[in-house]
Amino acid sequence: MGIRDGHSKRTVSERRGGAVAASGDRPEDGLLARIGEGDASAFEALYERFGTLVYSTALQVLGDVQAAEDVTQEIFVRLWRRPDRFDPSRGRFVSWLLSVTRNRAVDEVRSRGRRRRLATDPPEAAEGSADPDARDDPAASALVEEDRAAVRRALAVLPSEQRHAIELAYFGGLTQSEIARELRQPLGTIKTRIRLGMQKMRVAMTEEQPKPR
Amino acid sequence: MSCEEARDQIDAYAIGALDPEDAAALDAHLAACEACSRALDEARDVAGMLALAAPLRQPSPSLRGRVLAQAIASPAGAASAQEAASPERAPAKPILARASRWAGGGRFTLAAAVAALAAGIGGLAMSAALLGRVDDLDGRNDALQRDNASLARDLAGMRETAQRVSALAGMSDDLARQQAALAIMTAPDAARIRLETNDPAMGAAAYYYWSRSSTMGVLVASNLSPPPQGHTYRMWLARGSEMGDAGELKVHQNRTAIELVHLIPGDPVTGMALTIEPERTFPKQPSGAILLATASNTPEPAR
Repeated sequence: MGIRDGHSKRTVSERRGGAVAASGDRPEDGLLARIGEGDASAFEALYERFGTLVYSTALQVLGDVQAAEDVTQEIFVRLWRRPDRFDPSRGRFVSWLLSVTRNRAVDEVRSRGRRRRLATDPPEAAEGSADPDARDDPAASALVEEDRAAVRRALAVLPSEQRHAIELAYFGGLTQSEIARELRQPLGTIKTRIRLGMQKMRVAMTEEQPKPR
Repeated sequence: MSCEEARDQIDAYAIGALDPEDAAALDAHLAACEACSRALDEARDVAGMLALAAPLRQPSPSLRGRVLAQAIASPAGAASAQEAASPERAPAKPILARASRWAGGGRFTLAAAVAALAAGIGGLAMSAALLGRVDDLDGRNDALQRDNASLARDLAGMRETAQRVSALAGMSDDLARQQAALAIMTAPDAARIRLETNDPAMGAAAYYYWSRSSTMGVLVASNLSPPPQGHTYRMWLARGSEMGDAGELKVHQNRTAIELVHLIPGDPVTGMALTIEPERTFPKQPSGAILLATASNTPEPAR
């Protein structure tokens, strides 16, 4: 039932329209441009907005606080040096940023030769609380919070074997064959689980929500 | 490969689940197929949002400072090398605008020290935001209550992190050292002691910074002439009744010097001196003229 907008891929929150869309829900565009001119305060604002998300992603993959902080630092320094690497025509900034983070973190896991974490439990609680940073831009946080809630809801309603396969691939950095070996399942089964699970995720995250009365 | 077969694999590709041979085959198809490439972009957009499923965790508070310090120490974004070299084009506020915030304390205030640090990394004006961070550390009482163990952990990790990150980013060791120096100087329990000269004509000034729980200190000096031909500056630490070599002090082109001093656990530092020694020698005791040395003044908090 999700009618995907042909021009832009909009999230659940963006599709709600109204005040959310009008408040300039892509402030990162302006920030990236200013970073390109060497504006350090724009860079700091970007870190405030996305630092926790980048770190949380890295930590989920790496399971190690120090390594996750290192990767976070590297990702932001890369952003500072090359803000032009993000191409808005190919998707959303948050999505791109967290993918780059995830990929870097997975590379780090591989290069350290670590035994990959197969459990999908969250890593040991790191220092600091799980509450959003009080200095975060409330508008930005609210938008991301909606997307976070949507993703978690979508994952929660997946059949558990599909969710598990997707998490092993995305956060564990395992390929389909590796997952098949670990779970002692035929490769075809794993491929199907991933395909069906991602189809459901895609639908759940882009379908229109009923408008509140 | 048909588009139908390609589409079947695109989601797996987007979450990094394709085995290398399958990924290579799909790449070949995508190189020639605009429609499937666009489908991959969309799939990646969704896949990227999967990261939001991770539980939110806060990094340690010190990460912010490290990220800012390292980033602004490198050339910015799309700015060309020329633009980076001409500081008047940098939109960040210049140091002098903030110097008046630190009243009294003589010429060599923390602001000037931070400025010396910034000047030492290529003449870039330090971001007003980062100087604001130093303000926060100066003013905030709760920073003083931070427990020593946590600080020791942070600082112990700082150098290791700086080295690892500089290796990752391919930066010179210089920038990593300067980042570590900044961390020492702005630590909540940082103390400092001034080195002085008997010669009123010499304009050089120097401070040695350390924090109680750190294994590293930093000597920051300004207005230093380069050492005479065939000589170097060496640092000396007095601990208890012993005087030991603390390494060479290098002077940058802008007449400032920033050197990290590594301390093995032992007696507390009771004095420091900077002497002029012949090049390529490693004397056990100072032999040359004393340029700067601590008097018997007590250390003061570094603010």
